Amino acid sequence: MINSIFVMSPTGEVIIEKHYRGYISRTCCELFWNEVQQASNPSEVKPVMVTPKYYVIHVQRYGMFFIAVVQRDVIPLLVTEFLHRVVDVFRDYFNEVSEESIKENFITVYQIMDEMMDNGIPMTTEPNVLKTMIVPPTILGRVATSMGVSDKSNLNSDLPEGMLSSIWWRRKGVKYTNNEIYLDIIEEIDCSIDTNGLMVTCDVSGEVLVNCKLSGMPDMTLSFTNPSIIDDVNFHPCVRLSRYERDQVMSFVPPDGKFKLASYSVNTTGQAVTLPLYVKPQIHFSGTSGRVNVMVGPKSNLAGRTIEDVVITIPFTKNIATNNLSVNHGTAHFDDASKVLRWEIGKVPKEKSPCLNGSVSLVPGTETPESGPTILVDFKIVMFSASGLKIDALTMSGERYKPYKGVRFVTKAGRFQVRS
Amino acid sequence: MAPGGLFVDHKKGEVTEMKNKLRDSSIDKDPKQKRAIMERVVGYMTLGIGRCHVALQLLSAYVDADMSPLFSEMIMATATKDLVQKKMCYLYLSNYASMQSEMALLVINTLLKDFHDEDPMVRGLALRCLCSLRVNNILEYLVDPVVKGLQDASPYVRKTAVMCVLRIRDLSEDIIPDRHLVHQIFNLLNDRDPQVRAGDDVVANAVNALLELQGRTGLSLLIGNKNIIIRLLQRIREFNEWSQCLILEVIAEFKPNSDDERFEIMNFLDERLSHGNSSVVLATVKVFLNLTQDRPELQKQVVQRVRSPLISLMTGSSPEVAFVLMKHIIILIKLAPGAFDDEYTSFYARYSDPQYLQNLTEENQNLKIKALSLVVNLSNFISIVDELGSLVSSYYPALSKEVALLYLYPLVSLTLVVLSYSSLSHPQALRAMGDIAVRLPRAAPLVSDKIVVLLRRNDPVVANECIAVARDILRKYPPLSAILLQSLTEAFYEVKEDDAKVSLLWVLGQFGNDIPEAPYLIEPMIDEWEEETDPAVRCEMLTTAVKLFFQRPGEMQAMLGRLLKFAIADVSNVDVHDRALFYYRILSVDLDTVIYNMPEQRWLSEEALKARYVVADAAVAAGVISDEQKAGTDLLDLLDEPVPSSRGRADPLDDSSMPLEPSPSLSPEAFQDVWMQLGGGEPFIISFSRDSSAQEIELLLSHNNVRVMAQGQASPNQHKFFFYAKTIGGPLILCETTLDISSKTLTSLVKCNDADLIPAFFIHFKMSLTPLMA
Repeated sequence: MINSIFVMSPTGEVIIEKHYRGYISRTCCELFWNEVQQASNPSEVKPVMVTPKYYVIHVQRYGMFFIAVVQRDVIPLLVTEFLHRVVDVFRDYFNEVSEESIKENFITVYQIMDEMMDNGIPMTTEPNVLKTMIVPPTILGRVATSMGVSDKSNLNSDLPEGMLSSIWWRRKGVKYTNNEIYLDIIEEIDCSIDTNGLMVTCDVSGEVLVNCKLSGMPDMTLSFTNPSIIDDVNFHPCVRLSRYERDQVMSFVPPDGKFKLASYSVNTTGQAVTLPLYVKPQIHFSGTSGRVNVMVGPKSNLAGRTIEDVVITIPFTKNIATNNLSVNHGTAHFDDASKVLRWEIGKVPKEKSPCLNGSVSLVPGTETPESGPTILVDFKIVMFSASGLKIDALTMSGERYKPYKGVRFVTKAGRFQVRS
Repeated sequence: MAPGGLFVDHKKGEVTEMKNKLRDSSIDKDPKQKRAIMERVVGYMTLGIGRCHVALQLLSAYVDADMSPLFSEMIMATATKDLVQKKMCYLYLSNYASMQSEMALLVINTLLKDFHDEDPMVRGLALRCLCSLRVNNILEYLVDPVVKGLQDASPYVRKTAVMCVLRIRDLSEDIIPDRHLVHQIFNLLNDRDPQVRAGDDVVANAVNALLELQGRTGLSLLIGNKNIIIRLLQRIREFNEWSQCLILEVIAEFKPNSDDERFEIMNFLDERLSHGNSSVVLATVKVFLNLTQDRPELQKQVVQRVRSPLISLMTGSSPEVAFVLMKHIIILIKLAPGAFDDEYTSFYARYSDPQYLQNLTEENQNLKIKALSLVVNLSNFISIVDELGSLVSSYYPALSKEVALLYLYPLVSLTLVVLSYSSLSHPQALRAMGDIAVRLPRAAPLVSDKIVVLLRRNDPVVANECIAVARDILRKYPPLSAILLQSLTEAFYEVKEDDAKVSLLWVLGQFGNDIPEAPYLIEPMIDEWEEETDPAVRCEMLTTAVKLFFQRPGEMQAMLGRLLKFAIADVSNVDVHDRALFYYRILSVDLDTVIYNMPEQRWLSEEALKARYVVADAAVAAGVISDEQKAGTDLLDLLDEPVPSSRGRADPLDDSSMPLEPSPSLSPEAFQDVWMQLGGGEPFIISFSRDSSAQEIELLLSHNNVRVMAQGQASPNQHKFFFYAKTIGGPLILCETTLDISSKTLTSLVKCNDADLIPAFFIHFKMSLTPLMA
């Protein structure tokens, strides 16, 4: 299936190349890089590119390009998903994915890629299983290896017994002194609001992230008081799908460590989602100047929670010459190169509504924009669920100890956009 | 390790040092330390792979990372029980065997020895390593171990062996049939091993190998065997996600014999749609679609079923995945039109979407907008058109505007077709259409055409909106008047809505020269001033009348005069009153300039303005005229001042005309009284050489101080007037005139106190009408 995988730095240097089925020259990467350079922005390059001999499929993450070269038709999305998985594993191993982190962990990278794919077919892609085979580098270990005095190999002494068990995502004999399991339910609101303040689209999607530090082979059951809110859901392979179909209960033996249990979308057709905050922009251009007024404030339905990390981004047109914009709360920064205004509000105060005010002037002789820019909004509310999803119970069986269970809801802005 | 630690040059002595360490038997006792050394060896080696081009590597151009001197030590190290060390040795060996052919045989022997190890893990690893060696003439050493491996007791070895068959194939095609390898692999499909997981891997690998070795034949081998398919289906949950995709690909080709079988498979796979891996979901969708290929109604249900998983995957995933999903969704929409209609908001462009989702791809397809154009229906098109409309005007990159326009075009035509055939009226949609037409030059003629069609439907609600849209279109694209004017004129009398009246009046004023009957369309409205109560309509009437006056002064003057009179007299609305007064004053400054010269030069040039103020201010200062007067006090002056027509002025007969009072005042009652008193009177007849209208006659006469008291249509062919005039200081002259349009004759009866004046008046009357007799 996949012939070769290349990892390319943001500057077009091939850092990693791994050939699974014979050697493929780097020229197809050059073809790809040409495309990138021709595009006004790298993100404009289509994910699938056809060259005379190969299909070049790539994903872009953290500014890097992860490129797979295939020769024949493949199952749709399999390659894309696999590349994303490779990046996920890298991040899991090195905490960050960047040119430096990959160069630093060169050997580990090759080992991982060796295990993840055999003869072009994805093999072991579950980070937890991979970690039983290749131990992630630690800072201490790295220093030691470089000095040649390491006594700790980053190859595990055992081959993955996980490969042979029916619960292949969890290794045997896990032991913790404190048995804990943490659930983060993170919901994102994606919405577009038109110039009249009406909602054009609104989607709420969520993820259940688990950090599991439990000994042995625990069997978990997670149930919700209002599961009907969940419209469509995709699970980690450990979740018993048939059980969920039947009882709408997530039953699973968790992998060890951090993993994503499920991602879901919320049924927004029935009742309209009430947004936690409002943003009222008034941006008008006439002639060579424009008036800007943006108001932000909380709506009342927050049950006492405060909105944090509020950031308003206004990408103005490129022909803005000068501006005298001021805010009554937080800090606003206008980037002259990109003409983007970034207004960091932080916590929304209760007593007043933050307000951005002022005017901008356009470069004379340039076109007056027909309408204002689309404003991007970012925020976070802890212990608040936009969808109203509630956990009924998280129970454990199969082990004797009593685990500590922690649940945290977070609502964030996804692609939250206000047109002006 | 410091950043790029392995990238730094190292001392030559290091290789020797490592060699010594590897030979040191004392280290053998400490597996950890030995492992560390080997790891270093492998590390440097991989560095070579990473840094140099593989082709260069074969030329051993990477001197500083060359670990080949350690070859014999590494071979010796292979003989260890420690799996990790073994793994590293294998890595090393498979890399260097290809470069040092004299060493290759040694390596092969070592690996073959390991292949007979007790530990299945070692056997598997050795087999894998053996098959990855890039050494000439290795085939003879490979085949036997692989065949043996296929029958190994351990699933791990079997699994590895299956993959090795593929490697053998790459070396020699012939060996596969010779050793019946396909058959052997096929048998592995029934692999039942207590060690579930590995057993499944064997099956998955076997499927994969069969497909690769045999292509379509392999596939038909698989789907021809129902037992295998059932087994694969039942166990699909146990496979890893990638193998699930593979198996779903196979099942997609399976042709069920009955509906029961079909439904059974679908029920079984239904839960796969909730899998976190999008490729599994897509593969499942493929199975569903293939299963229902010959049953279109079922297929539609299937599309309904897979809709929501696909949409939520698309909205929540990375742009790359969304791209592929959008491509598939568009195919599905075409397959089952209507299925995705309710999800149309998911296809709205987002600011942060990468370009290829919202922008041109090489086939000129903006995926999301294309999808939108496909899901549009009666209930959602208003919002979609609206959204696209806002996309056009919004801040999105210029390219995306272009594309939105591209797709708006068919959408506009679609919407309008829907409108013209549905009995519903959609004012909102029509308004959106107008919006689009104004923004999209290409759509404007089309929208115009449709508006003509819609106007003919005589639906008052639709007509009102159409007129508003037509007005906007004409504003932006005046040339389109060729299409629109005809039906707009026809619509003039049908219209009841005030808004529409305003729009039509504007059109009338703007295109007065292109609408022959323009003055006569507005005339009834003027005469029914009292009935047009809406201030907006009244204001627009004023503006239109003035505009028309500029274009066709002859026909308009009297009408305008009446209108101004009505409007100035009417104080119910300040705006209307003021506007009338304003027009009146402007016009009364210098009518000549207004009509025949360029008014803006006369009125709007700075000198002219200054001069006017200077004169007026001086007059006020001198006490000659009051402020009131400066603004013009005699409101009806305009009515009485004849419009000096250029032709009229050149007419030599003008001088011989009868001395008549320019502004005689006579009330209708007085007229009637005088007319009754006088009795008798002299008749005379004038014949015209060409068609003439009542308005023309009236106008020409009023130029010469013969006023009309009343006029009207007596019969279809006859028009009746009552004229009056007053000699300076003398008596009144009254005249009843009938215009016969068919015979082009004007029959008049003139009455006057002083009968001597009648012939002179007759000459004056005839002179005034000379233009009609020329």
